[in-house]
Amino acid sequence: MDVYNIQNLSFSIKKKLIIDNISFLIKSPSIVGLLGPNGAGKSTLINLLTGVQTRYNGNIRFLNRNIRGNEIETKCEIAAILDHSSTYDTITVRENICYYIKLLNVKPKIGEDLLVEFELDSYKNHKVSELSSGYKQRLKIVISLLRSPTVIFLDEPWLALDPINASFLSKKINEICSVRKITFVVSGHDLSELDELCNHLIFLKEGRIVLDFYRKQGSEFMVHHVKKTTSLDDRFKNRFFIDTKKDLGLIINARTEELDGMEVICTEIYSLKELYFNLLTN
Amino acid sequence: MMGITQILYADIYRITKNKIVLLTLFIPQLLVLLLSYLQFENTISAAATGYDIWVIYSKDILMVLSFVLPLFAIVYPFVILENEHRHNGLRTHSILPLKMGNYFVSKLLLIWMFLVYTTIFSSLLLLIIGYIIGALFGIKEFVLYSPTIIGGFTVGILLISLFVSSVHLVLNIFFKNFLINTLPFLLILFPSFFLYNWKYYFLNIYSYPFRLMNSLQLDYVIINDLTSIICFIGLMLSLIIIRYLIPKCQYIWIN
Repeated sequence: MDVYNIQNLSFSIKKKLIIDNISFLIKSPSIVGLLGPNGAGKSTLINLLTGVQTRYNGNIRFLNRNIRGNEIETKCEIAAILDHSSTYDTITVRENICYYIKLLNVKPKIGEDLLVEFELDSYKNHKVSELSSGYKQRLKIVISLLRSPTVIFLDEPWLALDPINASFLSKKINEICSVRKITFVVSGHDLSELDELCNHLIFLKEGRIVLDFYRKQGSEFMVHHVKKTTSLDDRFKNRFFIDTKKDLGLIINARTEELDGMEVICTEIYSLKELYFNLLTN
Repeated sequence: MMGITQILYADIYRITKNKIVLLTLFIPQLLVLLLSYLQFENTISAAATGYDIWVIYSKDILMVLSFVLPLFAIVYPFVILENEHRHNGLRTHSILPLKMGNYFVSKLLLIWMFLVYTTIFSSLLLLIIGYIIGALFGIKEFVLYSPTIIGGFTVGILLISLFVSSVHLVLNIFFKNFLINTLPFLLILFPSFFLYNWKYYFLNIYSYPFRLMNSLQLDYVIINDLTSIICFIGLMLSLIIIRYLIPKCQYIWIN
């Protein structure tokens, strides 16, 4: 099922193009990684997909309905943890949960269960300001799960997390995605975590998608499609995949073949880090 | 979708966890108690003069309250919105399934609840202490005269405080810095005490409480005054602005 169907999406601020005519699909359940350098448009894209920013051109369909004009219905189905804190650090963990329980009108039992699941129950009477970054992040996830959303957006979730907490978070995201069938859209710069976690990766550069591909569990990358309009430089274009909307997973083996009248060459399989630097560095 | 009642309910829950804010709610009542104690001798000695005992007893106390309550109307919006700005609340709530207009109106209602509470309870306390003094010392003037000065003050200062707080809520939504959204207006409040009779007094909303006190002492009805009309129209306008116009500017805090 497609949760998001984005067609020709563009967005500008003060005549500066932040998102430049992008199109892609997000399937459910999946973990989508949004990669790109600072200023690539990742956070703006999240704002657009969450219905917070509505002055865009193009079409964003969420669960087969246009989000423009249905912002509230869309927001009922999504949760987002953005780059800044979404919890109140002067009150306790339990009080934060209670606040959102009252605000969202959900059963208190859901909050209690989630606190236990995320190993936060022993900290429930601690002020949020006393928690470590890892536990703050857990609390934010708990709050986002209170409503049982269809999609959760995470903006740089591993920022300032130690490896233990980062690993816990990744494990939980994976578990929630597979058990509760919740789709995650994760933006960030932590390539190793994204590499481990995501089965759909979207590379953004200067507001454009330079690569959008899916990956089978436990296998190398398999390009789903790279649009003709992508800005791959010639060096890279010759070594990698060129246009088609067909699944190109089969051509991962180093060989050349003709596809839709185009020569498709694959000479190497790249690691995520290599891909990142090849695609996104100038 | 979350309605205003639901948001307000959650906001009340959260603000009651802030003990400092809760304590400020009792400051006007403590002032009334303290000033009543200081006024005690004057009140007893003035009882025999035949003047309206309520005016003698409450005039100075109301003068202090006419300064303190607008001060609260300036400070409460800052305290509530500063907490939201500090925790990125505007942006966080813009992702929740609620209308941002309702979110802001809820904040306004919360501030108004505080102001109504402090004003009504201070006035009630003033009345109760007056009647107790009257009963204890056999001053029958406390019953013979009706406490119109306190009633008029309560209605007038409420109208002014609600309007001032609405203006400050709008200011605090757009400006995060105390030096911009609050301090200049606190500094204007002090000299406004001397400006209530200025030719263009209606331009300075912070002088309205002192004009109210003056009009009450001169015994004319505040409701006919231009200040009341400005406050009433201003209140209605600010409600419309907060509910319908400000949410349209949300790109300011999203970007």
